Amino acid sequence: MRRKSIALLLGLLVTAMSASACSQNGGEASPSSSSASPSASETSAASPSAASPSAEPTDGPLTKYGTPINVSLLNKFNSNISDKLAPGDTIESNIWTRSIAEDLGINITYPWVVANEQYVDKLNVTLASGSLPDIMLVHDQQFKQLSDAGLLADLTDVFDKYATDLVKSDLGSLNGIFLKAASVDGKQLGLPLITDPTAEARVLWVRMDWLEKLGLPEPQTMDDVIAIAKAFANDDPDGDGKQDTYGLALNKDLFGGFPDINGFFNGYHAYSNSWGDAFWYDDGSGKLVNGSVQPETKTALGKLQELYKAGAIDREFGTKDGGMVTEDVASGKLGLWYGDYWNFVTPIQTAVVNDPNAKFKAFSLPSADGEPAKASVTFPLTGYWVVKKDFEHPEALIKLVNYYYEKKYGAEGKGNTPDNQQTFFSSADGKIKSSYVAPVWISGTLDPKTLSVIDAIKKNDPSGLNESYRTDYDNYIKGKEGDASHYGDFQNYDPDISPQLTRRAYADQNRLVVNAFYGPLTKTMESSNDALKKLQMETFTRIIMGSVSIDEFDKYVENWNKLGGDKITEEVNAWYATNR
Amino acid sequence: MGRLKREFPYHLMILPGVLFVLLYSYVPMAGLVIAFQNFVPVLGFSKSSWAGFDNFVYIYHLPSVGQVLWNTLFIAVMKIAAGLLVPIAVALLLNELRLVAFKRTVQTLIYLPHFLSWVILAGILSDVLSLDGIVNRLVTAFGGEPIYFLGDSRIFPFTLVASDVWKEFGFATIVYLAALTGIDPSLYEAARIDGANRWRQTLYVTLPGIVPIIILMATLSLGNVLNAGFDQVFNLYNPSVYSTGDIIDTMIYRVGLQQSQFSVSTALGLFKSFVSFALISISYILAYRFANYRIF
Repeated sequence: MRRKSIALLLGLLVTAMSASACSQNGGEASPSSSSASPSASETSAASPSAASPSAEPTDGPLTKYGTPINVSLLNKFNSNISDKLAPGDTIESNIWTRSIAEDLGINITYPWVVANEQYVDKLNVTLASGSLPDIMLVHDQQFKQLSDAGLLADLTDVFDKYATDLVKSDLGSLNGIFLKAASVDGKQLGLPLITDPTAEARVLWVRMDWLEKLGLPEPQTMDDVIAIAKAFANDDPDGDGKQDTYGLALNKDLFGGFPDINGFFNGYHAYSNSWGDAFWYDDGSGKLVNGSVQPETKTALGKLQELYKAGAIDREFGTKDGGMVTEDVASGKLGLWYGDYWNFVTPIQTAVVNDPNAKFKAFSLPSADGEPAKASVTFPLTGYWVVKKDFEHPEALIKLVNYYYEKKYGAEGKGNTPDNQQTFFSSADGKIKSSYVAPVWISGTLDPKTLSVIDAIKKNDPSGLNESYRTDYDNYIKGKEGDASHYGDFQNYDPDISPQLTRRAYADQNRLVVNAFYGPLTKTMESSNDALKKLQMETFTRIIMGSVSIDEFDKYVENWNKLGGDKITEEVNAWYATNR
Repeated sequence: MGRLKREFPYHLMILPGVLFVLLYSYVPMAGLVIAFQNFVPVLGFSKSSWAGFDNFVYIYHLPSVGQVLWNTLFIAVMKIAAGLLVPIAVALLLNELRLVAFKRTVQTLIYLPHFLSWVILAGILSDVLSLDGIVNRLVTAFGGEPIYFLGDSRIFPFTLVASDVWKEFGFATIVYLAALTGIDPSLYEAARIDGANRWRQTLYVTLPGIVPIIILMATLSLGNVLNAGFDQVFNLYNPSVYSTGDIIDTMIYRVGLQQSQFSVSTALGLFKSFVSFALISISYILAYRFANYRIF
């Protein structure tokens, strides 16, 4: 009896397995209807006269499809998106989707929508299920998997043919390393999602009213930073008679997010991590080294341990995430951190609303010695826009990118029209942020706005600005005249304290160290990354908290090599030899 | 034939349940094949290459796996033990209460945290257990040094156990209270006539009366011996407590979903299931031998 039921069970299992196998085959076998499309675009190329309505419509960079096409798309969205949309708009139907349907004849659908943080997990599940959307935003590992499996469309020709000059020049910046990173064996399999490298370069934010009150000098060296951290923690900078302020800010993940302690390490010429991941740089010998195992990193860790011992680091940083540290700044408990240039938006704006006397300034990274500190930045490529292999209209992606650039920078790339700015990006009061729902976007390296506004402020003459830039100019004036709710605008554009200028200076002064490894994960990385990351985070946290001595670092380096670090270094250098 | 006719409605009633179990518990097991493959999601089950036992060998050689296994066992066993003893004690104490309204109130209050998810509780706990949180104020009021409950690797496992017991003991208490009402009152009468005081009555009447339920709960919980509680640990742990707080499930999450090594994490999960299956079998045999308790 029992044997029989087991046999039945096995039978069921086998049936289930073969059923799922069948469905896989079915998916593969379904005839792809893509064969029609190349010939269609060829004919259209052959007859360039777009005047006759009967001509094939797939023609120029922004030509509308005669018969609207449907495109399923996956993109990640900001998690607090719902209160930033115009009334009645949704992620599925908004100014972008409607205009794109109208102007380009592309109807966009989303198979699913999740918040930013869950995007990668959810996308992995979708890829596993085998039902790919037509266009999607993917990350390193997924890009590698998809291209290895031969499931991505080759965009080389359509990019060449359809991309506008503006798009080509932006994506092709830094001598084309972005485009190269998104291609495999000479085929452009994706469009790189790039950002301005200096956007991630850290600056040192200091609460200036505290600094003045305690009579401390502006931070020029790392010793100054340490002195300020100790004073902010122990000398009651907020003057309430209680020792309730912290010195230097840290979050539990140490690297990446808010605040990011990388800037502190940079001050000692250590380039330990980029976010939670490894950071590789050429140490001058022509070989790449991992920053987290270098002696400079040990020095910096020792200094952090010293600060922790002196009470200048929150004793509970090990359990505080970025959100909690944000609250500390906003509630006037914290006035010194390494962070992003845009921290004037958050948390500084809130801090100033809470306490109108609060003043902040972003400093270029101080250095421990005479040599200027360089800011370490990730290879500024955060993802890839890819097209499913058998999709009929690979050029649709290029058109969507063109469309985004046109809306963002204007037809000539010189700046946006106020109408476009307000409808497609951000309303004047900032309450509606339509930019959050753009179906396809690339941050890019262009920023015509900030520089021209700062320029106008320097000249004290806004007449040359277009209307949307003019709004920012006016907000700047309001902030300057003491309107706390516009402090952020003031900080952003003020020629004396603008963090935009501070971070741009890194590029001008050649003070950027870009993560030199941007290849796909190596074999050992795939297997050992988790163990190595865990080992590093644990050791670093314990060293800073003083539960182990700084000499534990040497043991860490040893273990790091044992756990695959030495192998990864070899693999990375093998990649470097062919890709530099 | 007549019997079948009589029982047919019952079989029909149980059918949806059986179908659900088959559909959601057995059919997905087919996916376990990826533990023996070099699974590439976009290629699917049928096209990924076979790896034999490579993934298991790989796990065996993972540097942190021993520690993670130990953490899992330690935390889970502590949770099982505390989760068994505390509710029994509380149930016995509540059973002695005369004031029904008070008893009911307490019962409801301790049952309440059971309904909160760990995501919410983690937020509350990180406040309550912080260095200047309410618990540490109490500690300092009694002259102690503040304890870093969530950041000290020596204390973290106990924080996990204590908070888990706090969350769940109300539920188990209700089960025991129900069992207590089932004890024949005449036994107490007889015991009193024999001169047994309250403590003796508890020892010789009450406890033996609920032994079957205790064994049932213990047997069922032994299946959790490798379940240290993903929701809880994931929401509370941080790098400073990796050495004692990282468990199999959080590792599966990081390796599988964050680093996309699906085969490895499936192999890890399969391994966990095997160990759990062995343990639950053993505990069932023991329960059968020593307490004559049978589920099947």
